[in-house]
Amino acid sequence: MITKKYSEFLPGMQSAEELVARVDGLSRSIDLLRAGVENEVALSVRFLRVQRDLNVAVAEFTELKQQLERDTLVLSILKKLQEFDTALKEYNSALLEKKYVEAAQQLEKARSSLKMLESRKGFELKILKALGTELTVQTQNMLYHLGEEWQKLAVWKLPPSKETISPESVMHSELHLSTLPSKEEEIAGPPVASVLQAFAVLGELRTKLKTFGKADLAFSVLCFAFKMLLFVGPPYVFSVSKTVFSETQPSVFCLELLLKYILKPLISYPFLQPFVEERSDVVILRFKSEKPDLDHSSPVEVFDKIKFVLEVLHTYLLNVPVEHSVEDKKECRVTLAELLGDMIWEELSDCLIQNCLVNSIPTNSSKLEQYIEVGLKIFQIYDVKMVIKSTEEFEKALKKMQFLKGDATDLLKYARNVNSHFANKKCQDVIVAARNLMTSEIHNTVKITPDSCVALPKLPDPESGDHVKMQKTSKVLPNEMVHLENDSKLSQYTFSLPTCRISASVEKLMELAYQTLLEATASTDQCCIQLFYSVRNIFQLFYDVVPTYHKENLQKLPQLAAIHHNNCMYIAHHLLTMGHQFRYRLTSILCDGAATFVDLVPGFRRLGMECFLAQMRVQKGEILERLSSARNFSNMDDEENFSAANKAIRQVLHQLKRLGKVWQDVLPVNVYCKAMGTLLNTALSEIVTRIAALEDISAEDADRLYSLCRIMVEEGPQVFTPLPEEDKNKKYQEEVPVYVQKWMTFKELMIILQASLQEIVDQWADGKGPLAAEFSPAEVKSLIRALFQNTERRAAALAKIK
Amino acid sequence: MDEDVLTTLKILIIGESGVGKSSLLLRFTDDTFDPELAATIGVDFKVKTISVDGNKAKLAIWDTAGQERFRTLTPSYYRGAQGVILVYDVTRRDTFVKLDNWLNELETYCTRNDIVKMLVGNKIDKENREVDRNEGLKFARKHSMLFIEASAKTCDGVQCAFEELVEKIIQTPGLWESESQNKGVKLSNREEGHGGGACGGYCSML
Repeated sequence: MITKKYSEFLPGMQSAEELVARVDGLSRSIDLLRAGVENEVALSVRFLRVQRDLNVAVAEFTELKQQLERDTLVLSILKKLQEFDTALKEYNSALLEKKYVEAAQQLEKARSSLKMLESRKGFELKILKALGTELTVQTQNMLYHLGEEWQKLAVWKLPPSKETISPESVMHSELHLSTLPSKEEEIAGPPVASVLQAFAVLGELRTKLKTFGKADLAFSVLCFAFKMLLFVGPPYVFSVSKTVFSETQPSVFCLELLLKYILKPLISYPFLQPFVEERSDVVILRFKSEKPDLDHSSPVEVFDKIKFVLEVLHTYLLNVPVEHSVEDKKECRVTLAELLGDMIWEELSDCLIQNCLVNSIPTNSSKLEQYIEVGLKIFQIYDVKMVIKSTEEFEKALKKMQFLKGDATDLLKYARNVNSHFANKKCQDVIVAARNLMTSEIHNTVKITPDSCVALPKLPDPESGDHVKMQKTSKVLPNEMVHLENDSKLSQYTFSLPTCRISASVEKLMELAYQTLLEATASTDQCCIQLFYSVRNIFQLFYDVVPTYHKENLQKLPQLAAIHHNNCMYIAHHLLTMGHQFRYRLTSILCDGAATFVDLVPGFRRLGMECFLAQMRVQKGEILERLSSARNFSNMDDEENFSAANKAIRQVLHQLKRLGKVWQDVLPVNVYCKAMGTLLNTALSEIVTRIAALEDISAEDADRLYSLCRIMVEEGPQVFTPLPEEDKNKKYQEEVPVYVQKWMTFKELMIILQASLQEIVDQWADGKGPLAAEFSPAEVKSLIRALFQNTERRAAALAKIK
Repeated sequence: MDEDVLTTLKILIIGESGVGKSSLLLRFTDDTFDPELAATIGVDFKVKTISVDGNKAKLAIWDTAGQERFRTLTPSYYRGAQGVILVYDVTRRDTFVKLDNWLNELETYCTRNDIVKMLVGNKIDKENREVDRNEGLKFARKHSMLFIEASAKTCDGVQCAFEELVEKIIQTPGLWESESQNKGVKLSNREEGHGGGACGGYCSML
C-alpha cells in the first residue's frame, strides 16, 4: 500500500521536481529580462536628456545668428549714415573752399545714400527724416551760394515799369555778364565753369528727384535750377526791379524774363538792335534803336538778331563745356545750352511763328513766289546753324550753340510749309469773310438782270480766262445754229437768270468765290486744292448757316423769303457753270472732273424752293383762315352774314395786295405771277367750293354772291404788280387766267349765279361748253336746284345736264 | 327749247393773234363788227344754232386767244372738238406761215383724228394782200382742209365758212352721232364705224 502509495507518489514527485526545475529556469529568464528592460529604460532616459540639450543648443545658435544679422545691418546703416555724414562734411568744406563742383557731387552722394537708406523697408528711423531735412537745407544752401555766385556773373537791369512792355521801356533792359573772375575765385578755378558744372549736377538731381517722389522738394530744386539757368534768383530780382512777382510760379516768370525782355521785343519791334558792350570785367547786352518806321521786321533780320543774342550768351556764359563727369551715371547728360533750348525753344518758336513768320506770309499768291525764294534762303541759313548738321561749315557753330536738339525742326517745318500756311491763312480769311456776308442782313438788295449777272468780268485780273472762253462759246454757238437751220433761235438771255433782286451780301459772296477760284488758278497745286475746297466750303456753309441763322425772319417776312429764294437760285445758277469756267485752269488733280460745283445745284434750288414754299403755305393758310370767317357764303340776304363775307373777301384781297407789293421787283416776274396766281387760286377755289355746296340760293343771295365774286374778279388781277412801273403790269393782270387755274371755273360760277336756265344749258352745250369743262354734271345740277324753284322748266334743264 | 336740234357740235377757232377770230365769231353769232375789238383773254364762248340741209345743229363755239402768252390754256379747249376753224390774215404773211405750228398743235392736243378742219383767209376786204388765194387753197388741200376766204368786216364768207364746216361734220360718219345718241361704244355700229373711219379700230378697244 505504501509501496503502492509510494509508487503512486513517485511520478507525482518526479513531475513536481520537473516543474520546480522549469520554474527556476523561468524565473531566471524573468530576471534576465528585467535586467534587460531596466537597462533599456536607463538608455532611453539618457537619450532623451541629450536631445533636450541639443534643442537648447540650436535655439541658442539661431538667436546668435539673428543677433549677428541685426548687427551687420546696423553696421551697414551706420556705414551709410557715416557716408552721408562724410559727404555732407566734405560738401561743407568744399563749399567753404568754393569748390562748387565737388560740393555738388558730395551733395549728390549724400542724396544717394539717403535714398538707399530710405529704400529699405521696415526701418523707420527717425534720423532719416532729420537727415532728409538736413539734405534739403544743404541743397538750398548750396543753391543759395551758387545763386550768389551766379548773380555776380549775370546781372539784369530791367525797365522800371512792369505793366506794359513798350518799345521805350525795353530799351532800358540790359544784361551784364561778368567776364573776369575775382581774386579769391582765381584760386578755386574758373567760377563760371564750376558754377555751371554744379548746376549740371543739380540738373541731374532734377531727374532723380522726380523719381524719388518728394514732389515739393523736387519742385523747389527744379525751380531754383530754372532760376539759376535763366540768370536770376527771385530775391535779386525783387531788390533790383521791384517786380510784382508771383511766388508760386517763379520758374515761369523767370522763363519769361529772357523771352519778355530780350527775345520777344526783338521779334516784335523791328527797330531794336541788340549790341554788346565789352568792358574790362563785364559784357553788357543792350538794345539800340534803329529804323523805327518799320512795321514788321523780315524774318532774316529777326533771325540774325536772335542768333546774335544767343551767340553772345553762348560766348560769355554758356560756352563752358559741361564736361563734368558723373562717372557712375550712365544717363546721357543734358548740356546747359540744350537745357536752355529745351525750356525756351517752344515758346520762342511759337513767338517767332506768330509775330514774325505769320506776318510775313503773303496774302496773295503773287507775293508767295517771292516769299518762297527769300524764305527758303533764310531758313536754310537758320536751319543749318541751329538744326541740321549737314554742312560742315556750320557744324562747329551747332556744336558750340546746341540750343536745339537735332530733331527740333519746328521753325523749319513751318517755313517749309509756307504754301500750306498761305493757303490756310487765305482759306481762313475767305471763310470768315463768307460767314460775315451770310450773317449780314438779307434785305439789302441789288437788282440782278441778265446783263449784270456775270460777276466775273468785274474781276481785276486781266488774265481771267473766262472772258476769253465766253467769247469763244458765243462765237461757236451761232454757227451751230445755222447748221441746224432752225429759224427760232434761242434768245441770248435764254439761259440767264431772270431779272430779280438778291441780297447785296450774296452778290459779294459770289464775287468772293470767283476771286478765290481765280487766285487758286494762280497758286501752287496744294494751295489750289485748298482754295478750291474752301470755295466749296463757302457754299456748304451757306447751305447750313443761312436757313438757320435767319430762320425766324425767313418764316415771318415774305419778302425775305422771296429774296432768300432768289439768292439760292442765283447761287445755283452760278454753280452750274462755275466749275466749267475754271476747269482747265485749276491744278491737274482737280481737272479730272473733281472741280465741279454742279452737285451742289439741286441742293441750293431745293433750299430756295423749300423756303419759299414754306412761306407760300403760311400765306395760303392765312387766306383760308380769313375765308373761313365768311360763314360759308350762306344766307347772304342776312346783312350780318353778307358783311362778314364781304369783309373776308376784302381781307383776302388786302393780303394779296400786300404780298404783291413786297414781292414786286423782288421775285422774277414768272415766279411772281406763279406765286400770286397760286394764292389767288386758293382763294377762288375756296369760294367756288363753298358756293357750289350751298343748298339754297335765293335770288337776293345770288345777286350778293355775284357782287362778292365780281370784287374778286375785278380786284384780284390788280394785285399782280410784278414790276414797279405801274403801266407795265397790265400785261400780267391780263394773264391772270393763265396763272389762276380756277379762273375760268370762277367765271363760270359767276355766269351761273346770274344766268337763266336757258343760258346755263347753253353754257353746258351738251357737255361741250365751258361750263362742262369746269364743273361736273352733279355740281351744275346741284347749283341749278339751289338757284331755281322746282318747275318743269328746271326739270327739263336738269335733264340736259348729263 | 331746242328739242329739234340734231346735235351739239364743238367748234374751235384758232390762229395767230389779230387775224380776226373773235370778229368772225361775232359776225357769225351776233352779226356785229367792232374794228377796235380787244384781244381775247383766255377764251370766249358762244352758242349758236345753225340749220344745214334741214338739219338743226347747235354749235358750241370756242374762240381761243391767239396771243402766245395764253397758249398754256388752250390745250384743254381742244378736248372733244369736232370741228376747227383755222384763221389767217391774208394781209399778213407771217400768220399764214405760222399755220404749220397751229396744225401741229391741233394734232398734238386733239382727241380725235377725224376732226373736220376749215381754213379761213380773213380780211379780204383789205387791199394790201400778202397771201394769194391759191396759196391758201393749196395749203388747205395739202392738209385736207376745207378752204374759204372771208371778211368779218364785210360779212363775206363768214356764214358760209361755218355752214360748210357743219355740213362736213354731219357728213362724217361716227364723228357726231354716237355721242349724241348714245354714250359709250355701240357694238352694232362696229362694222359701219370700221368701214367709215380710221378711228373705228380704236373705238372697240376703248
